[in-house]
Amino acid sequence: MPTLAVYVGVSGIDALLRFSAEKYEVLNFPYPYIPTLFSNQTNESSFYLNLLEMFCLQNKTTLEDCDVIYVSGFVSIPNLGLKNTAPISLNDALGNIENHFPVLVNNYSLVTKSVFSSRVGSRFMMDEKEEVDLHANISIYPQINLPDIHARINADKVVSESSRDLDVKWSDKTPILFMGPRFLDLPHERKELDYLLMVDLIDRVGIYDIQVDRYNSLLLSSILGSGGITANMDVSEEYGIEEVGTLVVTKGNTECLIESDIGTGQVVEVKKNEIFSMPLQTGATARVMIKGHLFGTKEKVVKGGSLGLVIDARDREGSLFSDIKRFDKALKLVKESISSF
Amino acid sequence: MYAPVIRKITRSNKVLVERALPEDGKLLVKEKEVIQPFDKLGTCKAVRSEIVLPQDFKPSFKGKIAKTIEGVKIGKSKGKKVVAPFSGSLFVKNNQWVLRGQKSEFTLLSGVWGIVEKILSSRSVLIRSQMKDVLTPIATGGSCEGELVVFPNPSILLLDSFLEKFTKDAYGKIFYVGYNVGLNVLKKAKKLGARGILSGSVTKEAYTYAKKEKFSLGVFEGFGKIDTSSQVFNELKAVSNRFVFFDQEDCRLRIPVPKEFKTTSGTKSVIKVVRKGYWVQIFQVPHFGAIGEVDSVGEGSILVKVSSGKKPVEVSLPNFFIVE
Repeated sequence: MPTLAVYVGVSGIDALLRFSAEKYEVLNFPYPYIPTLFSNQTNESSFYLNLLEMFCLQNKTTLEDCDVIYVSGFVSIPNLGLKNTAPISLNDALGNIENHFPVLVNNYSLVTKSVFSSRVGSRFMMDEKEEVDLHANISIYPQINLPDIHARINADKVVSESSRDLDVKWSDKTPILFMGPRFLDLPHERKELDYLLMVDLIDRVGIYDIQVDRYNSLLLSSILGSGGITANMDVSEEYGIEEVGTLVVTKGNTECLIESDIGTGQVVEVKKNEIFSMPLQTGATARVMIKGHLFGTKEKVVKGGSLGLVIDARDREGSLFSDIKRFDKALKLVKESISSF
Repeated sequence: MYAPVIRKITRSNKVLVERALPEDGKLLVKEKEVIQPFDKLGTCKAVRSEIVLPQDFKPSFKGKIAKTIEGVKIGKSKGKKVVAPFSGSLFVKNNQWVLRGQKSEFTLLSGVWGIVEKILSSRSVLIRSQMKDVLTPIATGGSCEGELVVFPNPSILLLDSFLEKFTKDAYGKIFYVGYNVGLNVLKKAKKLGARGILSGSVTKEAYTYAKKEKFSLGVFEGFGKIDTSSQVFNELKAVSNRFVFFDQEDCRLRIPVPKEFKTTSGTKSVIKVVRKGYWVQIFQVPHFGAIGEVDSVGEGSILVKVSSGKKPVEVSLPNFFIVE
């Protein structure tokens, strides 16, 4: 019998239908239940059941055929009203991810193990009238995918600045795995903005391997795991995790020797408050030797990815999004790094 | 590609509506009686109008209570004389001067077609009726009811004069003021004693004001400048001057109708596979709020014909809803 894992977030619903370790399907439905729009037709549980039933039928099964339906959610877990459902707290699901440091990002909030931040976006968008309206509309239509770069940057600023109060214990012992609606694989998304947000969020000195789960497949698999089902899935290419690259946070003047795996090397000097970026393809590695005031001296073999290698020597007094000049410079660097592949 | 369906206008049979006298009085109907909107449900003696005077109001008499006569000066506010718009009494309530009208004969009309389901008390009855419900995703200030006055989508410049036209008769009415409502119009409507305002869209400052002042505001589309969809406007236009109910909690404007709707078997799905020919509402600039017809469906986006004769525009998932 198949097993279903469901995650209901603030701006959509994700589901994983597992038939076996080799056979499974993922659904990313970027619309949540919105009471003010749908309560004249249906209630919350019927809305989700309607969707899940369609997903099951598409995969030649039914909800009734599912052994157990594990349900998690943020901010709360919805009651689907079925006998075979089991609630899993998001904290448990994130805590169950052992080989990664999971970070779930929504339009205006961030959730990681044990902590979360959340703000009402429109309260912080007071500079332009049209943008105030756009963010206010997101409170009615929370599925809206911020279309223009300025609106996206302002929303990212809210997430980045609110996360600073959280004192997230960023760990460089396991890869940092970003997930959630903010990074969902939607057409026309500007990936360079995704990468800049990731870079800005990680504010502790260290060498970080960064990945992104654009289908929330690992979160869904962890929801199954929290319910006692060992997902044991070989994540296929279709729903795979994207290698973003390596971020080195030094917070001061930095000297770095980078040796590629084909033997070429270069010495890089990154001044305090500067960001350095270089392409390093997915699958490629490089040996880096880094020296910095707060950092000491470290040597490590680092991985490449869609972004490559980034050395961030900013003092991290403020967010990248609050300094337009620095942000533009960083955006240009990241764009160049991505386009070189 | 799946997307949810918004149904802006829905129909409900067997809606229970409570109609109540403001004070204890005499009910004129019995249980199971069939009624129409202009049927009298009951009468009582009640205060019809009450005004809270500005904070700086200074009465032209000594003491904390006085009788007033319509048209006679009662004090000053902002250096200008204030004249009683109706006869009544003037008194202080919560540190503010209040002018309350005299009690007069009040007749409660049904406002709906239906059957008296139950007599609830000496002043209220429960009526079983049928309604067309228009969705108002933005709703503030509590529920209300009143005669609906529909403006023909005036420009902002003309809106003030439209309201002025109704100055003498705005009390207790619900106004549809057009595509957009701003702060000034809301303030004016409240001052004139309007019971509620309906609009296609609202500015954030006007919304904040309505919420703070607990003024009934229902918005059909969203924030900013979004035109009311023709589907909604045509429905409103057809029922101008009818008695309507604004249900703030359930975000809908309820319009009573004479006959029960025919029930169809099965429920309509709230999530559908997007197909060519469907109507969608777009939430993506520069067509934010516009409604158009799906021309083709791609992997992660659709092409939508927004205006005839022009090229279809690309709208990416999830920046649209199917509209029915």
